[in-house]
Amino acid sequence: MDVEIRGLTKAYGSTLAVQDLTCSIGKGEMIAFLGPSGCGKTTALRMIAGLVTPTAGEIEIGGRSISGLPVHRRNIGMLFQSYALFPHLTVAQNIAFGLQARKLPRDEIARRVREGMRLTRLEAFADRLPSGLSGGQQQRVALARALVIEPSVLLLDEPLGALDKNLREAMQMELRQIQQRLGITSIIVTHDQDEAMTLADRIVIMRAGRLEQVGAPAEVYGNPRSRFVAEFLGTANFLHGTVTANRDGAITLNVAGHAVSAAGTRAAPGAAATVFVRPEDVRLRPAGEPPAAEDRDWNRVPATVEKVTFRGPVTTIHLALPSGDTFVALRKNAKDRTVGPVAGDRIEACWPPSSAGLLEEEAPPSRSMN
Amino acid sequence: MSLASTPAAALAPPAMGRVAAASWRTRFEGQTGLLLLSPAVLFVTVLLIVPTLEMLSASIQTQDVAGSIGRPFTARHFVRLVEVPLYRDVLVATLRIAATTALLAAVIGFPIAAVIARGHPTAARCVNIIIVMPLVVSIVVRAYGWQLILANGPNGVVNVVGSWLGFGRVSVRMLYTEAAVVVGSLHVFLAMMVLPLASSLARIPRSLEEAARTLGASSLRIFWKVTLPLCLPGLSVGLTLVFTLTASSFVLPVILGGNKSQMLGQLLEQQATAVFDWPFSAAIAIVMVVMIFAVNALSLWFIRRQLNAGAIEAQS
Ligand SMILES: Nc1ncnc2c1ncn2[C@@H]1O[C@H](COP(=O)(O)OP(=O)(O)OP(=O)(O)O)[C@@H](O)[C@H]1O
Ligand SMILES: [Mg+2]
Repeated sequence: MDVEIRGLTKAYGSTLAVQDLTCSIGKGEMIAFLGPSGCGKTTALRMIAGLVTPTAGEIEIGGRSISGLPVHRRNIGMLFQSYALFPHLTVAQNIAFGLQARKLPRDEIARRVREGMRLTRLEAFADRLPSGLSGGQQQRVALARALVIEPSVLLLDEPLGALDKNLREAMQMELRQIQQRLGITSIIVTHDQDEAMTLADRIVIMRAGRLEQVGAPAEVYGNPRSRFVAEFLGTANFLHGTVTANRDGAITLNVAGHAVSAAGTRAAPGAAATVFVRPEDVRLRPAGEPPAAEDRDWNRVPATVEKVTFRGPVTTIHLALPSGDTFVALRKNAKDRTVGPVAGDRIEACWPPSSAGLLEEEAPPSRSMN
Repeated sequence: MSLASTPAAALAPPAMGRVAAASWRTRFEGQTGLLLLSPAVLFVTVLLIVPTLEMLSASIQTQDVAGSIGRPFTARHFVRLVEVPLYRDVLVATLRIAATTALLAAVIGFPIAAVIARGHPTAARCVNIIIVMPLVVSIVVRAYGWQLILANGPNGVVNVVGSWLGFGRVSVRMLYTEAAVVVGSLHVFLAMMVLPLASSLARIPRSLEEAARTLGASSLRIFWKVTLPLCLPGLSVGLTLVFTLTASSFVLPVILGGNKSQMLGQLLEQQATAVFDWPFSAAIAIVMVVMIFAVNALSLWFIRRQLNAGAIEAQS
């Protein structure tokens, strides 16, 4: 592993901004620290950069502990949300800054600056000051400036947060391309789940200073450990019930009188449990219609359509269950499809047991020292 | 200058479709503006512009034996100030003292400004108060205070402390030298350096220094390559203020400099009230004004050039 973080902790007074964060990052891998505002992402990243001193814990890069190294010896590239370009230096001078600090020969600096500007398509702006650049161009300068020093790790703190949606998506593609081409180990901090899933090989989901779950985007999206993760990574429906059976890796729940089965093993009969199902896995069929051959063993729950919202590629259908819970289903808007349900319709919501997952019962997170 | 813009605004053609009443009101408001300005205009004209012109004319005329000033016109007084070694020394000493004070103020002021702009809020507030407080004490009082501290005899505070520390009975003879004037001026004018510097420093985002640090720059390098260049506007305001105030000061050189280290202000007073050579006095005054204008213009030009560099780029 290229970067090893063990037990990283930061206390401000008696609150723990980050507590006991442990994870490892492979060479050339891009990891996203994802979580709601204030969960400690920035603090964790700044501890790796050396800008914040950890209260406890160990950070290794390339097998060497960097805890004793001052910031300017860590050979780390960092991108800030505010770009942090030097306003009095031109684009080329900004990019050259780290190379000059390393006292490289003049022609080597010129070569690397040219290379950096080519990589980020900034050749035309070499002699401009940052104030004459758009937000996207400024962030590309910051990227070039961080990359030319050939850092051992690239740290990005919400680097695209100040850009509008389209530019942001374009920059995500560009960033990912450059990162993969150079094979540079990277950590990006974001509170945007789309960004995390687009950019990262693996996502570290944080909550109140703690690591909540880590895994590849499809893994954490499909198998969230907790309700927090399930909700943070998109919309999810939750059903609460009592476990009635547990066999062969499948459990059955009694949810307000209806039997619901789901994948999962960690539940004893009689215990309370929560399962989740993603809206895109939910199919709707008219009430009372007999099941087709392929969905004979699907879960089915009667429901009433409450609201139908057209959203371009998909339509969101809000349902009310007999238990009083709300349920959301998605329907793809293909051109030739039949007329969808309308508000007030009585229907059945169905989904395959394999797409429903059992969630861990959780204790509310604590942030204080004791 | 402000006179010119107000009537111009009033005479500007009213926008299409604007009713006559509105245009009348605009004109009326323009005149109200003029009316409101007139006391200030009168004040400045009578008490600044007229005397300055009077002084300018005196500086290029001749004074006869009876003391009255008249033709022929001459540049002799200015030449005298530069050519007579006694006077030239005063001119040079004034420039030297002002420049030394300004530079020392910058060196001493920088760390103080850094504490105000970057330090712990409590520390920043305390330092701020310490720096600003001397401004509310009369300059004469402060000058006499320094006289006590720097006194050349065994009773001067510095010498008393020196003898405690074993440097002998009278270790420092500083009073009535240029150094004493510099020390006094530093104390009196330090705030003029620290405040603009601190505001300049506070405007530099911390992330710039953090970025520089992650890029591998040491603290020293960050100071020279990032902090200092971005502080230049505040620094040049501070340098200009301290230089100007020191060069034109009178009380401090009189009390702390004695007559060994005369500055232009003292020479002017002497020539005007003891020698009664008014054309020469006027010439000295004109030189002081021009000197101060020149330093201010230079500093303004420099700041504007710094700012323009950014602004012009932003437009393209
Ligand atoms: N210098 C500090 N002093 C005291 N508390 C701090 C300091 N810096 C951060 N914190 C606290 O630590 C917690 C984590 O902050 P952090 O900035 O790491 O959050 P974040 O996940 O980056 O949030 P955001 O998405 O809003 O940027 C917050 O509760 C914050 O108030
Ligand atoms: Mg943050």
